[in-house]
Amino acid sequence: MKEYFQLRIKMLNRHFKDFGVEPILAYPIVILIFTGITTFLYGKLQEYAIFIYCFIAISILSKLGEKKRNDFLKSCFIKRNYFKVRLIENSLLVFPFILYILYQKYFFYAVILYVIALVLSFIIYNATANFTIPTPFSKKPFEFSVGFRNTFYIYPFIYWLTYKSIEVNNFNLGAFSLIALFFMLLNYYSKIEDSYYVWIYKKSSKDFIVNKIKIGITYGIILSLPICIALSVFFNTYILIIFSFQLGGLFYLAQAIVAKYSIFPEEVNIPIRILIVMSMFFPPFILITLPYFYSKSIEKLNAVLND
Amino acid sequence: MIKIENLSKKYGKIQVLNTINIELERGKVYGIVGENGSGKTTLFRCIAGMEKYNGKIETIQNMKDYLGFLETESYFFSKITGREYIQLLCNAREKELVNIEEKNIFDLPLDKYATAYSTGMKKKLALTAILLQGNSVFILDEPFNGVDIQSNIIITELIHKLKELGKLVIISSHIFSTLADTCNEIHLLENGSFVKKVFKEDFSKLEEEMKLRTVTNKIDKLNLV
Repeated sequence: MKEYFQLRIKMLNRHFKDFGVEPILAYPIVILIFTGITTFLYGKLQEYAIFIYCFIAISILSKLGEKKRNDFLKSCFIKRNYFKVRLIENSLLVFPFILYILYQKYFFYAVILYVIALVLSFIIYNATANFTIPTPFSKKPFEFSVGFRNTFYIYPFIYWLTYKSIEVNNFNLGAFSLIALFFMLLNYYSKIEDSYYVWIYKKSSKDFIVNKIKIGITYGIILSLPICIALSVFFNTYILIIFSFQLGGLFYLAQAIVAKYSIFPEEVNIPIRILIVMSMFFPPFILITLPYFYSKSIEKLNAVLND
Repeated sequence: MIKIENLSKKYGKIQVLNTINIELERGKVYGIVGENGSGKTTLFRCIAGMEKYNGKIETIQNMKDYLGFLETESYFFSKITGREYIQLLCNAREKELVNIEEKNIFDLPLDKYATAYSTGMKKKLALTAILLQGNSVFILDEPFNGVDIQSNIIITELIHKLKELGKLVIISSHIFSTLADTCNEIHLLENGSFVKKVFKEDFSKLEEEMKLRTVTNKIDKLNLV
């Protein structure tokens, strides 16, 4: 069992290295980012940040219950040790979230979250089950149809946050739900596809990328519109802010698409991520990064589409 | 339709293809045989324009837009259904997808995730998709791999039909009988070069020769008792 956890740490360190960060730096950076986001979220959303943290923690924990992974663990360990591994893994993962909730003195939620983490150690689900999750995006595969199926359980939570923001008259919470939605959509473009799925297109590089942006923006508008309309109706004094968040979200979505292909077929690397983050902290910067990624992506796509 | 002149390809210092020369015509089926690692897949990827190479490949303009490429192992996204996979490939070629149920000749469970399909079903799905794209050139890399006997018969008949329709088909297969059934000519690829070109009347001779060369001597080395 000890070897298993040592191996997990090795694998995690390799992930950091592949990402371009030495593990010795990666751990403090992760802690800093977690603390920073936590402090910011709690400052803006108060007790609702606890719900968001519980939700994130449960989402991460549920991934550990995937059947294939558990079949592998069962084949490696005797029954008692298998359950020990699952309990330790879940406890370790939920620890930072519980620490934060305890720090905010929400003892009840901390206990509930820990109990859920323990219960989830005994639950296994089959990701390739016979049941196919329906998606409204199947006519234009693949980013939104696949992304929607991977994150379908987050949608009710995001829309519930919008509803809650109206109920408790907390605009920040509503704005957070819109931002969270766009962050989730950006994630749909984080994985590079096999070059075959670009090669098949009977399009020029420009048409290919414009088509991808069109699909992304159309679906982005469909999914974000309910939040925008609800917030505009109930917080009409903030209508300009809502509109700029919506517009900004769509711009960042377009940027995520062009940034993905700017280094194709390689994975998005650290310098690109830095540019994206910079454009988020300083929005006018997107006027430079977006055209830059666009021209780079045309260059890269020309090689695949033989343009 | 496709004229390949002095095609060579290197991965680092390893020469995978070495001065390949071949002319491929519309309405014919060409078989490419060779051991694993002989360069078949690399040759296909070069023809498809998915790899950079030295030499010359002359084709019709934008042939890639009319080329159906069945890869040895197609990649499928984790949560995409069979139907969506076909839709994606048809969208890519701006081909409207109509009456898919009727065209599902392999009776695939189109509303299930493609990753949950068996090896043979994945092959059949990928083949269905490139057929529905309405291509005029087909590269089929191991189309019979993992496919059941009934589908084997259907695929063989499909290749005959494509030939009849004047399409160009290039196939690789380890099952010699499937090539003998469908091909006009077979080219033997060894260490990245074509070493033999055989027409239909000599296919049986080639099979015997390949058996002798690749099987007999190697099995003897095991000293089985």
